[in-house]
Amino acid sequence: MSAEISTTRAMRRRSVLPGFGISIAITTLVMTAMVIIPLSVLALRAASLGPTEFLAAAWTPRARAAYAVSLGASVVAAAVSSVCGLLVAWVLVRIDFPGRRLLDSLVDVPLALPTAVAGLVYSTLYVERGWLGRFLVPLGIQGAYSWLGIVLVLVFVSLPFAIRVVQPVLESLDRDSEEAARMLGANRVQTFLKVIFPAIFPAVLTGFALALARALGEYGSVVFISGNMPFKTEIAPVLIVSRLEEFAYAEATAIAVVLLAMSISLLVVVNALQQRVARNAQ
Amino acid sequence: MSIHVRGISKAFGTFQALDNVSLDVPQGTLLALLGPSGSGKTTLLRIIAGLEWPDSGRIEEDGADITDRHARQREVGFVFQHYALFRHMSVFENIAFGLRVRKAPKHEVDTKVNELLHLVRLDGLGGRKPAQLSGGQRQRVALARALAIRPKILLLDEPFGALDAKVRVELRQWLRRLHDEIGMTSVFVTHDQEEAFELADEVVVMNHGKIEQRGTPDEVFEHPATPFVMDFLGNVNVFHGRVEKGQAFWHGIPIDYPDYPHAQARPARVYLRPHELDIARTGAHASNGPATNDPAGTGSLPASVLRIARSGPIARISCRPDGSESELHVDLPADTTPQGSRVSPRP
Repeated sequence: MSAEISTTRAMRRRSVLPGFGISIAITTLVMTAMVIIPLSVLALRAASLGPTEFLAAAWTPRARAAYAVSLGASVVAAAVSSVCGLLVAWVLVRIDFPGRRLLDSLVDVPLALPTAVAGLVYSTLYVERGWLGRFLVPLGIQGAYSWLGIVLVLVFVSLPFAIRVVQPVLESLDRDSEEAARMLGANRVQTFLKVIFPAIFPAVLTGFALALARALGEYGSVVFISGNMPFKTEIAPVLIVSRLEEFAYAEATAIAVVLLAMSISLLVVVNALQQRVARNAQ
Repeated sequence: MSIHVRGISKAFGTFQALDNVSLDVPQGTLLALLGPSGSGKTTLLRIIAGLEWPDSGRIEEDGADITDRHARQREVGFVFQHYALFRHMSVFENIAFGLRVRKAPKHEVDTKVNELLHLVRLDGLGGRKPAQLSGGQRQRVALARALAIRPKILLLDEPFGALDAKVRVELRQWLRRLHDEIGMTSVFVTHDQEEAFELADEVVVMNHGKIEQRGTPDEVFEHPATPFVMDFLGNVNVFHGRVEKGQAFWHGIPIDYPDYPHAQARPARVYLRPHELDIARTGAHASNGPATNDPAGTGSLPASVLRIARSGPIARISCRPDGSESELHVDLPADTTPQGSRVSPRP
């Protein structure tokens, strides 16, 4: 009896937010309604296929090629976004120039623009007669209807995440420790590699994970620039839509489940890495 | 190594941080730059370190002009107020940093860092992260890190500012002993006069980007050169009185003032430090009023007590002399603090 009372008291004392019960209830409800139920339906639909049928639908050579294009282009785009995002964030935080605030608000535009518009604009720019394509195509750089085109639009849609995650960390960086490194004889490269980068690396990895997640799920812009050639520039979401157009719902679901499993594993690996690095940086 | 500051000026926008400042720091001196915030003391320290560039003037080390030399080429150790340790590195790696960027051989790094860990009394803590140390320990790591590169000059920016009172006093005494052992030219910035006077061989008092006074702690404390120094060093009492024939008169009470021997009386402002005043000992009558109403006899004034504030061994009595509008502060050893509401302050 008394033990029970003291546990309840201890629990009460531990919770900081008022209404602990109700906030947990709302969290569970939201996560269930928005994430868990839709994903379960997806899994159930796919489970209506037997194992051999599932493999036959989701592991065809064409589907395998689509997974490779999706994952490969997304990883490359997320990596490019992380590097460019770090540079943009650095400039926005460290350098005061006229138009800085304008540039800062431009960063979010890719989030607001319908991505199909981005895909259309990119493909008109990079086709042979386009403003950029007329210079690049003679050099052998095919920006439209190619794997490179997919990467380009994926960088466009994922860059804001990479920038916005690193920016506040750069802002809160302790400037004294950079000066300390200088006083101890470190040159700029040494100061960046040994003092600044270890402090911001966890944020860079978080930005990479978000950019990757965004790129894996992208459909609207890719469909307009990739040309959707099976085995070459067809991404998994496009393959899903073409299966749906053939009314092959179970096959579409099977492909979706495989894509989802791959995406989740990739994100879990990146997050685990991020946590390890963050713990080291403490 | 001696430091010579020659006519340094520095402005941040319209704010003149330093105005034609010149200063010599002889080899082996421990010098304090003392002043209120905004007096330019930290800017001067950062210019000596090479972390800021002066608008005009020169910095010399042993006669060699180092004004244009980059911070990392100056062989100067710098200790920051908030430690500025590298958070992701262990204590050992923090101290080793300066040696590693110089590509020192591993065994040399190990020997030197362990030596320094011993010097700052942190043996066995090399594997800790800075977050696992107390403030005083962190500042000792910062000091060891600065000493690792064998600097010729050590600069410290408010080195004890972020520490609590007890640790501050301990670390101060320890730093003084360390300085005497190593004998390195050192300059530290502080706004705490007690710190400056206890630690430094010489004190430079700064205000509004200029040097107000420079001297040994005794010289500065006993003979403040300007009203600013006087006011900054002690919460002084200021009165309008007169001086004549080597005496200043304060409410009619004579005080020796040999700097003005002339016979002709002249109005003057009289500065009296709280610790230069005493409360007349007139026995049990002190608290009863009538017995002390005799300024001529005892050289004291009757006054009413407003407040008594005790701070460690000192008690500050705030009182108002009868017939006066201004407050008077008197510092006394706490155990001799008078009781009652009536006192008789005297010089």
